[in-house]
Amino acid sequence: MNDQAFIKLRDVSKYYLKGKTKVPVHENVNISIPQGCLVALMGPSGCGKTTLLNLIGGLDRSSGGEIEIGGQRIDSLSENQLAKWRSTQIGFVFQFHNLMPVLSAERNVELPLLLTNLNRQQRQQHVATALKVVGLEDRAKHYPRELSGGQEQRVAIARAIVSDPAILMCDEPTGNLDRQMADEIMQLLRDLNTRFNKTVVMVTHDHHVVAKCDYVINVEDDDLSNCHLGAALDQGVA
Amino acid sequence: MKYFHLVWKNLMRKKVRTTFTFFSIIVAFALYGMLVSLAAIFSGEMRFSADDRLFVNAKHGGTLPVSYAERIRTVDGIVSERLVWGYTFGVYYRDAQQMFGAQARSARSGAASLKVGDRYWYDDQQLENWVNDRAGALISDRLAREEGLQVGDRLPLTSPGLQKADGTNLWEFNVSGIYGYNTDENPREILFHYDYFDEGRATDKGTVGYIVNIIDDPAQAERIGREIDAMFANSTYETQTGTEDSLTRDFFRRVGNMGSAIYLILGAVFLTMVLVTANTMIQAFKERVHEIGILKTLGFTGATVLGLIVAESLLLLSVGGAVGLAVAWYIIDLAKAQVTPLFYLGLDDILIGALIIVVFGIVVALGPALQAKRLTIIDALGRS
Repeated sequence: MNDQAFIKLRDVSKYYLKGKTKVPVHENVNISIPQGCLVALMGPSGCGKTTLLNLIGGLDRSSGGEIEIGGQRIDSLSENQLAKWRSTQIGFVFQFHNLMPVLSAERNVELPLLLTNLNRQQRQQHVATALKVVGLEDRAKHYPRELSGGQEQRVAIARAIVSDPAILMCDEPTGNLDRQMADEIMQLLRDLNTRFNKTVVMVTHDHHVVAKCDYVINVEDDDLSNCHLGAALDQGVA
Repeated sequence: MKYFHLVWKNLMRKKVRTTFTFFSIIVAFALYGMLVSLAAIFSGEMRFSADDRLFVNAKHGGTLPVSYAERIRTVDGIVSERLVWGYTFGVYYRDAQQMFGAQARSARSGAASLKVGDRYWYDDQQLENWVNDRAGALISDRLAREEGLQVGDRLPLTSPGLQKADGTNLWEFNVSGIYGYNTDENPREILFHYDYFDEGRATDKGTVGYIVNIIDDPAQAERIGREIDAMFANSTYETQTGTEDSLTRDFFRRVGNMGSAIYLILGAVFLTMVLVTANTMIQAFKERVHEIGILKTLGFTGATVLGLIVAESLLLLSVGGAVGLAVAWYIIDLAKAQVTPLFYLGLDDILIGALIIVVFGIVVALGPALQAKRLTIIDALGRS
């Protein structure tokens, strides 16, 4: 783990418009997350965990402030630039896997690579490697409906890592799994974090999962206006 | 090409719906191919024959006295030895469902006319044998092939709509020869002696259905036609003379503006197809909003997603349209050989069909594609 801040949010705010009324979700958020750590975002429903995840992952736009990931200001990128950035820098894992039902496991994993200049053979090599990392090389030809929930989530993780992004954003990745499968998925994410130095940011309600994370940010209770992990950890910020 | 698998899989997601849409496109383009061929005939884009073939018909329908032939022979520009008169009626051989045309013709001049140009192939000796046998008949090679007939066979034919003097409808011929066309024409037909026919029939003796002459100078056709029609003006049997091309055009003009009517029908067919296909694309978009959000999450830009939806629509229309045009091509080829060579589907019609495929492919996809492009990830994922 590198204690230098890799993910930086500076004075970030986010509000939604309900009619003409501004409904604030986050205000004056200042968070620093070092590279290569595994961070859990916790809190009750509606406290803004997923919104924060979406802002860091470039899925949503902030209403103000600066978001810098790996030295890149993403709040100033155009939609196309942001899409390109997501495809190379971020891997996403969702609670409900979000696989394409009409595509086999290997074709699902291949999707992010379609945006690259790799040829079919190169893409297949990357897909095979990703499926091997998640232990599903023998399920490559299977369709999502032919896989268990845990296997589907492994395919989703393979899709998330196939482009070798620096960061994995996980929105309740174990929320739809039984205990054993949840532990397996959590172990897999931890392996990716330690073996490949992936920075993992995940939203979770699961205390078993939280126990295996390097840091926990309680979105409701912590002081998000001054939340600096890593170097700041010793000062008891998180 | 790397997106083809994704586009194809999305297209085949709802197989029944896609199949129905696919068939509606096939039908639309098959109709397009057949109707443009018909429209070309009705709107006068098609040439029907060489301008040297001058036809004399009864102006108000029906028959003409055979004696007209002798008077027409005197008109300057008429080639006397090729002045043919005849009468056409329907006959069948063994199967009453398989009617074909029987042409009673003045034999000597009829044979001479067959030899003009290279429209027909024939055997000189067989032609001569036919001229010399009053009950002889020349049959088309298709009729010979399909009915297993050979030169020398006795050929009994029934004419349901034309009675003989002996009270029957049965005509008996000797197959004197077999001939065929060097053009796309391939009819079932028989030529036999007008004299034999006129002697045998019960009514309208001494009349013909047409008088025709292959003239030497097509530029004289209009003048000759005017002279012939003037010759019989104000008589009981007025004539209308013209080349086959001009007479057919005149017929179609009298039928009405069929070309426009056909194009209107075609418009309705395509409108229906566009509505069906557009509905398919809209449904496909609505079902896939969440997946579009996932694709965008993975880094697909709005333009790429738009392209995927347009590509899906183009693929659907291209495959359906190509099959439809192939069906039209096949049917027209069949009709050309078995009905009339006037049916024709040209390369320009195919290219217009291809253009319609592209334009409609974009038009039907544009609405859902633009919605998909504008859709934000948060909205898309939030709708699930």
